[in-house]
Amino acid sequence: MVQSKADRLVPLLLLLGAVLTAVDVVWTFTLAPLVQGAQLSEPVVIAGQMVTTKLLLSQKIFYLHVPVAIASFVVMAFLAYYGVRFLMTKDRAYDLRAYVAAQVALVFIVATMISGDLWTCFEWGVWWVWEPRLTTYFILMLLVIGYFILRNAIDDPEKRARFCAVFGIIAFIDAPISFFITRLVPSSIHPVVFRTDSGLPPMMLIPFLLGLFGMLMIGFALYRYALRVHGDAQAVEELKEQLEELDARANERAAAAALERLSARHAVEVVREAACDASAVAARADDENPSKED
Amino acid sequence: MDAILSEVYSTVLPAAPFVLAAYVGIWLTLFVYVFSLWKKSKHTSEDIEALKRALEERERKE
Repeated sequence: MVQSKADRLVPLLLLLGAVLTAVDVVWTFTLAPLVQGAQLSEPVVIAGQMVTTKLLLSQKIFYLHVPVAIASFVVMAFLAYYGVRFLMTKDRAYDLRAYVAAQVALVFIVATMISGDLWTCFEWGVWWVWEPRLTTYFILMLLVIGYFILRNAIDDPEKRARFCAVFGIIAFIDAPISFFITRLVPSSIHPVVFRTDSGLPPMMLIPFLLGLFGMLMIGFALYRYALRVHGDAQAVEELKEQLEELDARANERAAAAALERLSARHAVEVVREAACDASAVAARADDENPSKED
Repeated sequence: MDAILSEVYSTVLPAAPFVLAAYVGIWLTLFVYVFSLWKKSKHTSEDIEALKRALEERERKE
C-alpha cells in the first residue's frame, strides 16, 4: 500500500499517453493523407493534385489499431518475463505481476480485435477470415483466456503460480509468431501497413509514432495502476484470512477452556456423587447390622 | 457532386461508421477496464475500513 516511484508516475504517464493518442487521432483525421484504393475510371485533380485512385478512409483505423496491437505484444513480453522471474526466484510478487500483465494484455488484445474486425468487415465484407495473422492473434487471445481459466482452476497458490508462469511463457511464444507472420507467410492477405522500408510519408509516420508511444504509456500506466489495485486487494485478503485464523484460534481456545471447565465440574460432581453413594452405602450397612457395633 | 469526385470519395462515407466504431471500441475497452479497476479499488478501500473497525473492536475487547 506504499506508493512506489513508478506509482507516482502513473497519473503523469496516463495523461501524457492520453495527450499523445489524442494528438494522433486529431492528426490522423486532419493532416494525414488518405491512402489510395482502386483505380478511377479517369484521373481527377483535387486541391492541385492528380488523383487516379479512390481514397480509403478505413485505413485510418490502423493509426490506433496497430499501436494497440503492438502494446499487446509488449505486455505479453512482460507476462513471459515475470513468469521466468517467478520460476527463477519463486517470489510470489512476480506471479502477481504476471497476472496483472496478462489482464492488461487481454484488454489490449480485445481492443485490437474490435478495431481489426471492424476494418475486416468493411474492407473484406466479412467479420472473420482464417488468414495467418488473424488466426495466430486469435490463438493468442485464447491462450490468454486459457491463462485465467488455469489460474481459477488451481487452488494451491504455489502450484498455481508455477503452472501459470510456465503457461504464460508458452503463450508469449505466439506473440512474435503473430507479429512476423505477415512477413513470413507470402499467402497472408493481412496488410503490412507500417514498414520501415515502405517510405511512409512523415505526415503518416508521425501520428502513428505518437499513437504508438501514447499507447505504450497508457499500457504501462494501466499495468502499474492494476498492479497497485490487485496488490492491495491481495494484501487485504491475506489480512482477512489472518484475522479469521486468529478468530478461529481464539474460539478454539475458548471452546477448549469451556470444555475443561465442564470436565472439571463433571469430575467434581462425580466425586461428590461417589462420596454420597459411599456414605449412603455405609449408612445402609449400619442400619442393617446394628448388633455388630453393640 | 461531380461523378468522378463521387467515385473518388465513394469508399469514404460508407467507411466512416466503421472507423468511428473502431476508435470508440478501443477507448471503450480501455475505459471499461479502468472502471473495473476503480470499482475493485473502491471495494478494497471498504474492506480496509472494515478491517480497521474489526481491529479496533478487538483491541477494545482486550
